[in-house]
Amino acid sequence: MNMLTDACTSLNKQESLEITELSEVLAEAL
Amino acid sequence: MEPKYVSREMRDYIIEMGAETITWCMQCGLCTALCPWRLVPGETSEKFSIRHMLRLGQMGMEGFEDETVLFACSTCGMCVKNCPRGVKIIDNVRAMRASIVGGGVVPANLRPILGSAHANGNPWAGPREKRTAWQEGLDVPKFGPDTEYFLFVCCHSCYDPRSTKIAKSIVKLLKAAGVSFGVIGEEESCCGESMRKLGDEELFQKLAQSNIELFNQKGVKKIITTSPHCYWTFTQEYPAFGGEWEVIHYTQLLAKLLEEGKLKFSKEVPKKKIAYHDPCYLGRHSNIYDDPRKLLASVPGVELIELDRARELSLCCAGGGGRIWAEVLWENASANSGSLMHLKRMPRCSQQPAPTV
Repeated sequence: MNMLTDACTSLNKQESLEITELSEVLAEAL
Repeated sequence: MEPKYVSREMRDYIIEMGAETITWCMQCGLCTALCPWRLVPGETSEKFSIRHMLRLGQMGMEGFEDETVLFACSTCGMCVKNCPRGVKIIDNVRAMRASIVGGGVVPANLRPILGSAHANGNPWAGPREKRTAWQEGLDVPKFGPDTEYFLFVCCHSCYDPRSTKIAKSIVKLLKAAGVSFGVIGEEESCCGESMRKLGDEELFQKLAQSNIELFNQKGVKKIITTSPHCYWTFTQEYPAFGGEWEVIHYTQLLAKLLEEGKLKFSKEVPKKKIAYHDPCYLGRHSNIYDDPRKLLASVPGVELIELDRARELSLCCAGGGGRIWAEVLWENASANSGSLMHLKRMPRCSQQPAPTV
């Protein structure tokens, strides 16, 4: 996740693309 | 051009370090054609060809010990899955690294990582007593004789502040489903996966032995892993050293609980379209593709989108094979440098109709 997040930041894509972890999405939906 | 000399001794040494299948390679080059480095123009891509590296190993010839070549492979497994001769390419890469690292020649950026794993049992330079710091504010049960599952939290989630949320979320999910689980804590050591891939076989075996003795002494029978790398190591590497338990990745367990009706997702999440990125060690290496997708698809409001390269063809994030430690500094990287494999992954992700990966 962090590798993709860093790449996203490096390419200034963090506004258009969110990188998250599956467990976070699932825990949020409980 | 200076002549290069064949060294039967070097070849035999590499084979002895674990590259038993290196002589099976017929140099067809499919591995190099499929390697994700081919998508990334730049210095590493120009220097690194897995076919060439294997050939140097077969002949015991110098050239593979160049750091850019030796540590380029991210062990994503794309070549292994498709090799027509069944060559265990990653084992061969590991053995070639071990033939250099085992002799004490370790790249400068890897020395503190391996040193920390030796001294603290984790590669994050975190003291043992801080291994459970991520649990702050959560009531995480201790593993005991009556606990069904031992939850092994990857060092990454124990020590990297950006990743502790993974462990916290998994604890919430397991509690919500009423799973009997517990952690051991500061006595745990890193599974050693990236140390072995970097060629430090002695360190890997030290960590593995320490964990196996600890888990057996505590009476562990079933393990939940948070990381695909720990899952793969416990299932594929530890049995050879006497570590045999029922190991399950958290996505497998949660999918099973969902199917049994013990876990329910009732709250709609604000994100709508989500694409799932298959990690190499969960997908290609462990053949777990469906459980994470089943879980995501069951969340109200989520529309699951597939990336252009998904499942068996998923692109590597470039963190495997110890490359998480070997990468160049971010300030030296840019979109145009093409020096990092995951910079190539990202534009491909952003072209998908999903705002979340």
